[in-house]
Amino acid sequence: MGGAIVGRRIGLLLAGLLLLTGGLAGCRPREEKPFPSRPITIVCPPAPGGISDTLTRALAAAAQPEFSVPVVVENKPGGANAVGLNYGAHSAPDGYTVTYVVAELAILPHLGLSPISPDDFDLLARTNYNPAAVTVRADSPWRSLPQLLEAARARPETIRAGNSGTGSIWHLAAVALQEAGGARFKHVPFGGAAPAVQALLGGHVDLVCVSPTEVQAHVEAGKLRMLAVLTTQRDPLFPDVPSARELGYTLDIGAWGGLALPKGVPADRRERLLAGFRRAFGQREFQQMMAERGVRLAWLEGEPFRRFVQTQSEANRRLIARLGMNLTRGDVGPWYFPRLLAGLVLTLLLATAVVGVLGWRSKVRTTIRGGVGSARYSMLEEAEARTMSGGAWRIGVLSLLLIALLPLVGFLASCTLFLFTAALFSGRVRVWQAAVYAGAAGVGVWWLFGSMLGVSLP
Amino acid sequence: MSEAFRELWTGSTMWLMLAGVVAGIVIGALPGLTATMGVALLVPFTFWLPTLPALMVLLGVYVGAMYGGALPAVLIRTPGTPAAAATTLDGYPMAQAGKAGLAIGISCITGVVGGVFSTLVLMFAAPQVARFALQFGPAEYFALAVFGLSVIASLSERSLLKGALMGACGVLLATIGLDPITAVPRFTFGLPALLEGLALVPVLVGVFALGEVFYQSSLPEPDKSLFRHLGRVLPSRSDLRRITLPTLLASVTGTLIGALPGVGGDVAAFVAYDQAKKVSRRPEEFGEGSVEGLAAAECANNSVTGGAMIPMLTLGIPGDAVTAVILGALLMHGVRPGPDLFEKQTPLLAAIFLGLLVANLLVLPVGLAGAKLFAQTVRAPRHYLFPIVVVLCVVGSYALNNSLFDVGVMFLFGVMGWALRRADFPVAPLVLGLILGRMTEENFRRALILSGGSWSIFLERPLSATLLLLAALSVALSLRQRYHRRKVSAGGSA
Repeated sequence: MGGAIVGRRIGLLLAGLLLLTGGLAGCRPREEKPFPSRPITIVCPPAPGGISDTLTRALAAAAQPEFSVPVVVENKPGGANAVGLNYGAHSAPDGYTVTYVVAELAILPHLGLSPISPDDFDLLARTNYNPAAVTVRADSPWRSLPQLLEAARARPETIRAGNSGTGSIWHLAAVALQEAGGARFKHVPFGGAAPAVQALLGGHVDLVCVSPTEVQAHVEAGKLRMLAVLTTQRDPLFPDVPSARELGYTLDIGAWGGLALPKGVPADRRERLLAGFRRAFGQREFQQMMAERGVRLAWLEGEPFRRFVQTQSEANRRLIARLGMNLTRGDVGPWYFPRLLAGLVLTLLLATAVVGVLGWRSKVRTTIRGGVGSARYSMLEEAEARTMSGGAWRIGVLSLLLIALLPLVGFLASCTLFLFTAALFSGRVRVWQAAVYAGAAGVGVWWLFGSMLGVSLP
Repeated sequence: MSEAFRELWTGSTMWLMLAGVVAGIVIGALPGLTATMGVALLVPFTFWLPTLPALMVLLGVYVGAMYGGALPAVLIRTPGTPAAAATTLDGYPMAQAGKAGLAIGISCITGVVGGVFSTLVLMFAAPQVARFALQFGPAEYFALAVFGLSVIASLSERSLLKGALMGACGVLLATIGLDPITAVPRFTFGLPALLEGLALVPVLVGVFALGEVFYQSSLPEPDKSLFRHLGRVLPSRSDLRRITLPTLLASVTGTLIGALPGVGGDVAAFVAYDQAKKVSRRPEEFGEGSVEGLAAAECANNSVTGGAMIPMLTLGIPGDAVTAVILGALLMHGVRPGPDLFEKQTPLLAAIFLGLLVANLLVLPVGLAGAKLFAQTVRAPRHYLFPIVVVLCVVGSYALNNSLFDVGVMFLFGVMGWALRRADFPVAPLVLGLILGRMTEENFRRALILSGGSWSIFLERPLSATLLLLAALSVALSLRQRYHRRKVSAGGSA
């Protein structure tokens, strides 16, 4: 027994030492090397796989030789891009974190969803601008935009416009279109542009306002018909489709993306980054890859970019203010489901409690029933489990400590420490065994995730 | 076709594919690293490869990951990918009873059968299946979600009431985040991390894996003498007889559900599991280590692969998140999936078919060869195994979005999983509710917007009415099966 206590003390001592070394490894002396001297991260709010992700990864690859350090992309998906934008705006202003800002930056503040606005960023340059295009099914009666708007005026709120989510850029595009044409659509939000296009193909909605790239394959296959692009110029992909300006509508709406820094990055570093990305952007390979993917590159830097974002933000604010006034007919509202379910949960909870009390005495009978597996749940073991629940508490508290330490001392130190103490506290291994185990397993997991799979562990 | 075959058979392409499959199995087996992430991670590396080998690597990863997810699900009750959630239901009890090798073997074999079946459907009936998938509008998606929720009735083995309660809690948890229709934040408490709702992987990992670690830590060490036949991998003849029908059913179900954009392997596996239970002669074994349940779940989530490729290749609309990434990769290589690609029947299309087929077949030797080895995991003493599982839970839930918040969610659900287990509440309905909740609400409200508020839309549309009827039938059948079993067991113990 005494030996075990001594073992534990030594264990705690070792644990403390481990913690110390981990902490020391974390803080290196200040570096005075020329910028950039370590990897640059581009925060990409959208999830992997989409246009934004493709663009940032290709740009990062092109920028790597410009900076002579690795340029890595880190996706931070979630909350209509609010999570990633928030993260980027609050990153350290040392120039090593660049954020790929997207159209939602000029939308979210007006929806009241995120306190992040364009003013929270030092905007570097716009990289791309994909205009909205009005697309209908090829077998629909409308052959031109004026025809469609005429029909929508004649029978308001009957023509169903699919969009990629309430408050999304493609929703605002459809609203801007109806405002310009004095018409009213029935707006149906979907979970993205692709599901909206799918619904259009299946005849569940009548039109979508999304980028030309997203409907290209179907227009070329003759399933869909593009009526107009909602901007001032024709789209190079579809030179036969008129622009809104030609048809007499003053519209210029589309999805854009660009690079931005958190506020407070030193001017020389800012210039270095801007120059490097400008050259990367100009590379023929990058340009060609984006053209193949249907991304419309549109470089715009400095003051004009800031003005562009301001104009977008102002236009979005006005559209969203209108939006609030006509709620969608037929919708049961955001709280219908939660209320229904809360009621259901309460009723079921009550019923379970009643049945539990009533069935108390017959419990013995029901637990004896059953084959091999259900024996695990027998009353006998349940009682045993209660006496032994110390095991669960021990590993539970240790896991909680691990999670608390993780952001403070980094992954390797906290996990090794956890593995060590958890093994030791089981009381079945010696100190050296636990140490070897913790070292091997901690480094192993770290190597697998951190080095092999490129997960950026804290 | 023969041209594509020759091109595929060049040594280097095959090796790349094998490497893809192995990498996929590893990625799938690690919790938090989903098939989507694995494919997305590898896409940049394929820029430097010609189109065909690049595609083969990605297909290899996709198929490998779908199988890899089963390994931790069986061995440590940790679904490696969300699609393996249903695999834990019977795979883990089998491993606990000393049949880990067999469980992995069955996962592997049925997974390959499902994958090959769905590839054959992709090859010979893709345009027809795609046309069928397009008929699914909001009303149909809602009806399908209700059908999926009806599975709760058969997942609630010991108490229907508790199961229903857990299911309702799951659906309620799914309402956290931005409301899908009006973009109003719900239950987010001002936290931006909650705007998107609870991420599925941390919840799954917490409730199944961490909860199990907590629960098992309070129990005495199990009897290791059970594990003498750990190394048996191939199913016996009677096992094979039992799993044939569920596997075939699951292949069809998985392929069809996979072909519907937005519905993935997680739903397919639960639905197939329920079907297997309904046709089984020994439904009482489900949840206690039934080979049929395991076969159905694993077969269904693998047959989703071919199914999900159908809308991607024929319509350019990805069937799930993984195919969305593969679609991006194809576009990067200058291939534009869509009606054109299919009608022209290019050699590339033939190569994709063959590639998918070969990737599935490669899983068989790799999976079976590894099964014996992987099965040894359950032999590891708990004081060594459990801390590693905890670390994997933490890293896995972090890796998904590089978010410490998700780690917190994982821990919270770990505690919950343990408490529910102690109180004998089933967790599978909770998970199913969470998976299907958003789809249910979103499409219900979207359908009502389309109909202008009239509920009759759900019954007027034939496909939606059929699915709702099937849901009612499914619940009725489950209840009947329960009733009969109760009677039998009551008679037996009296």
